[in-house]
Amino acid sequence: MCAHQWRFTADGGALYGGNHHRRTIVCSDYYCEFQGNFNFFDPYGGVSFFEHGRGSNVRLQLRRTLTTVRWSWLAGEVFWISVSPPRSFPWEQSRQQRIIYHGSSDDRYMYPSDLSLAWATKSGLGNILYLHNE
Amino acid sequence: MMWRNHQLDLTPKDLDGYLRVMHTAHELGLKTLVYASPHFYLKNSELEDRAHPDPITSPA
Repeated sequence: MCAHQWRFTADGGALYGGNHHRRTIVCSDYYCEFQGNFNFFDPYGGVSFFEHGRGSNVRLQLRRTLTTVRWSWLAGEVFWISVSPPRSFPWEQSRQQRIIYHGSSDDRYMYPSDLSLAWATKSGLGNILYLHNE
Repeated sequence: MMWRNHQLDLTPKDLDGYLRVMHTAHELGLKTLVYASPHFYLKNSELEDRAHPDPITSPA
């Protein structure tokens, strides 16, 4: 008998609490690890697991098409899981919000002229002015 | 640098120019975003005493 608790958060994360060994199987194009934490990605996004070095005996098994990680942790420990991207990319919004970039060192630490701002706006180049003030 | 003292004082060095750009941008209906580096800004941090005043524009 085992108990599992899942709690999803609004930022694309999830917490998992359980009381026995757990094996997770993922298929990914890329992975990286650090002290028992793992990131797995493919062109569509990724999933990350964070156990913060509390567990022991984390075992990674690589195969041609399947990667397996096995974590063990004590009852009551919390296991963090993060999915990325947490939401679909807002393509339409990205087309509507067009940013005019004006950088300080790139532009010799000078502010844009009124004429250039008017031209950029009326030509439809952008509707948001971003001043990169270094 | 566009700030009077980029590590301690985020006041535009050219205040008139800054206000002109903001005024023109808003007249044209542009939203504005102003970036200042949090990496180099040391005011009220533990590293404030390591800040180097900008040599030309910082008040004496």
